[in-house]
Amino acid sequence: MTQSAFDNDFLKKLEYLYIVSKKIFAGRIKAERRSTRRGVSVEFADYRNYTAGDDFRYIDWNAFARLDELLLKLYEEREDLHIYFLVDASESMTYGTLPKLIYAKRVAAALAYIGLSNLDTISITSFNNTGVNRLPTERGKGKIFTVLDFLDQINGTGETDLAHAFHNFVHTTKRRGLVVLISDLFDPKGFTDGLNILKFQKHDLFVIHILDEKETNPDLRGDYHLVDVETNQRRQVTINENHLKRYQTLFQKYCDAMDLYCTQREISLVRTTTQAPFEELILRIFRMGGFIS
Amino acid sequence: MNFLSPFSLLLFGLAVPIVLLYILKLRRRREPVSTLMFWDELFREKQTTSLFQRLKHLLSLLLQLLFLILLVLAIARPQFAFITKSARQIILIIDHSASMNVVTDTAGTSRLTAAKERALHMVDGLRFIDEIMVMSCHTRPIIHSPFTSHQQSLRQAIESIQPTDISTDLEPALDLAYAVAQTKPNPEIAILSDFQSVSEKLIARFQNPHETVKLHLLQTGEAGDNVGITQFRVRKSLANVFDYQALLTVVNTSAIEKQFNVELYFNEDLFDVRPYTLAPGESTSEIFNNFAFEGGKLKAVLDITDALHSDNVAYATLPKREQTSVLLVTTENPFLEKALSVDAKLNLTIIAPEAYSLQSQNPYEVIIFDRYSPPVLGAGNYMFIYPPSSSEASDAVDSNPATIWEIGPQLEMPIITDWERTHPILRHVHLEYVQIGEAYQVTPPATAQVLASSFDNPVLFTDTTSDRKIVFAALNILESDLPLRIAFPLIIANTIEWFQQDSGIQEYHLHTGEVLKHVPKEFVENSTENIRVTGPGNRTWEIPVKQSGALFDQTQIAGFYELTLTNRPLPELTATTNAENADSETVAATEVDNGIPWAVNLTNEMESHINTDPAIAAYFAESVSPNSPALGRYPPWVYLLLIAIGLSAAEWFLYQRRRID
Repeated sequence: MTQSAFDNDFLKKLEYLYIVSKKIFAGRIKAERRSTRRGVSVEFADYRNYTAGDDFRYIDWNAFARLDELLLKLYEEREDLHIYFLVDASESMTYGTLPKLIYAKRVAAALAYIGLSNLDTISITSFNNTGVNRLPTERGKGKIFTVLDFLDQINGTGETDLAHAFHNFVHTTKRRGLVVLISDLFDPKGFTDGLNILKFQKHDLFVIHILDEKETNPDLRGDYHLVDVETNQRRQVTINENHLKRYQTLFQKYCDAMDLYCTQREISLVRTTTQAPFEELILRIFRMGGFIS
Repeated sequence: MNFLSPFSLLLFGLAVPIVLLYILKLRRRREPVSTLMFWDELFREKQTTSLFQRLKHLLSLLLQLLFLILLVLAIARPQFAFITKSARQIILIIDHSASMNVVTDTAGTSRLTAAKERALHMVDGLRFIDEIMVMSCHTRPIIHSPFTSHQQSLRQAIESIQPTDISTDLEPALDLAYAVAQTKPNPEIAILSDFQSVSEKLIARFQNPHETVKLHLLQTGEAGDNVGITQFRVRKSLANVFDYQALLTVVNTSAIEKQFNVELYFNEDLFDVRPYTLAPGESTSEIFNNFAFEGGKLKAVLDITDALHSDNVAYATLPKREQTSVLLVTTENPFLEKALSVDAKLNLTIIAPEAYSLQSQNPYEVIIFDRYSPPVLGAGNYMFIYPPSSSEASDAVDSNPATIWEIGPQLEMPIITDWERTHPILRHVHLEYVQIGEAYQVTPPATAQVLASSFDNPVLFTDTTSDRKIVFAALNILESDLPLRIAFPLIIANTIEWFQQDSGIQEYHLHTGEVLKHVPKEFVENSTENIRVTGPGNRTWEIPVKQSGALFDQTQIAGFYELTLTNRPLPELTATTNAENADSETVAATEVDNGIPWAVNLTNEMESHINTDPAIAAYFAESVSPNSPALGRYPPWVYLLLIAIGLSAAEWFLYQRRRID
């Protein structure tokens, strides 16, 4: 990949996106994220009976005075959100005038920056059929350059195998969190197996489906050798207007199936093409709310 | 099947590269895609048509090869015997006589225009193998185009046919057409005419079953009303030698009564107007008198609007009376000299018989031989007074006076017993009691008219031939008292007048289509003189002057034709300077025949009957236009090319369109 995903303009946009996102979601977006676990915090959650070994500091002495019963005050425990970015690094992501992988890196970098700024813990994993490459969890705004360096080193090679990649991911990730999947989802075996693996592991799933205009609306007429950039498979075709209409129908059917799948499983899905400015996509993601839901 | 260009068949070799290209196939464009998922699914649905796809590609090759075959065959220009044998040779005769100028429809289209349009329609439908010869006719046929199938040439030939005021005679054209048709294998004759004056002989030819040539009578034009001048003639007045008379005949060929005025113009000034009322089919004649002595142009106009305009106007010319040059060949005859010198209109020259020669008679209009007979007579007007027997031999029998009449023995005591009192020469003359001392018997030619005789012996006779007028007196006037009588100068004056009675009038009157002939009085060898003819509408022609005369045959439109002699310098004598060149362009023009215009008239009653002869109407139903069938209108190579283009279009639609839409 010769084209750099992160130039100076991009870095300026990161801060801008962070500020804009704060304005949009003021009061709602915080680095902290309520956890279902009870722990130490300032917000009261519940009482429970004292059992031996409990910390005396959390006994409600006022209740003991009134009720003569030792009750332990429980507080909601605050914990950092773990955001896992899964970036598709297969060969198909290099397709397009503006390669989809670059677009994906920019989206991942922008979201990661916002997450780091909110004191979330982020982790980035690139994947293809050969395996995964992972950036260990990072926290704090200062880690953004580590993130960018990692993203910059991702190259699009190999084929797409979502199930295989996510299987590896879930086995190396014990803590649940928000999984942001950035991919074109062009897996010959289908996208459902891979997404099911993530969903079964109780991750919150946010799918960013990146496409190129030439994929949604190909402008091909005549005799061609179509070459799959991942598998290098060839198909000799003669394309006419009817074929193109049929292609669009099939493609729309594929997208509709994906939309239905995600809706049924409460998976947030946003679809874009590389022709759309990535900052608009980021704002669209935040307006949807799914990113922090 | 033959080929006009058989070497073009070598182009079939182009099939080799076409097949090679098909085998090699064009390299398809390589197009990387992110996934083949959708394309696989898409074309998996189309798997069943793969066999058809292969057939389609094979069909593409076949179409291209077929295209090549058709194209090469088209270039080789095949000829099929069955087509060539069916070739027709159509002789197209378009009548452009005066009656074809009739306009009966409201659009103002003349019969000739309609006939030409019909002819053009025939040309448009001509098959490539058929040929047409375009001929026009009035009184004589004119070939405008030889046999050709070149439509543009035929159209130009048809368009070049101009209306005329000449009468109709289809027979010469039909004769010529049949003569031409004999040389062709499959001839047809198509006549486009109004058939308004068809002779019985012509109708018989239309019926003739022995004629092997297919004849198409294509009638054009509708019936209409017409009134026309059928005769307009002038002559010198019998009552007044200085005056003229004009005879006008008008006919109404309409089915209804017509009222109109006849206007007579003399030198373009209105001279007389007379009202006429003519019943259907009625004709009337009238004589006009009292014209000017100086001569001029006379025009009769019918003030009426009818279908044919050409016969509503007639023209006549009245020659100006000039001095008459007279040559008197005599030893001495004071009575004769005195009688001739009395008339101021005579320009008299007297010579002795010894001085006379045939060449010396040229400038004289009348020659009087007194007691002398030349060995040879030329054309002209001669008066012989008691000539002796001619003893000199001559090569030309009809030029030797001795062969014209035979002089016999002397008459004894002749007296004039009878004379033609009504003859112009003896008008107001009394010859009774004339004392004649010396006269002889003479045997006049068979064509002679005896004016005075002594019993059975002619004393005075005239003889008129085509080029010669003779007055012969068989008495010696010096040996009679005739010169002392009042009758003598009258006879001399009447004779001079009789010689010129018809000359100078009729020669200036022609019918349309007749040849105008001008004979110069003096011809100069290697002369550069031209005669410029100015006709109706100020149209001019230049014709050369030859010894036999200047001939002009373009008298197709009725009207006045004026002749002027133009004298251009010889090319080698033209100067080289610009100024002199400019001078050389100037044309010296002098009037011919004292500026007397020629009057050319239609004046033909047959042409004024503008409606189609009912005797021939029955033939029109049997005769159909020789239109060609639509198929075979073009040579085979055109059809081959069209099929090739169709194949090319089909191939493009099936195989190429997807690349560009």
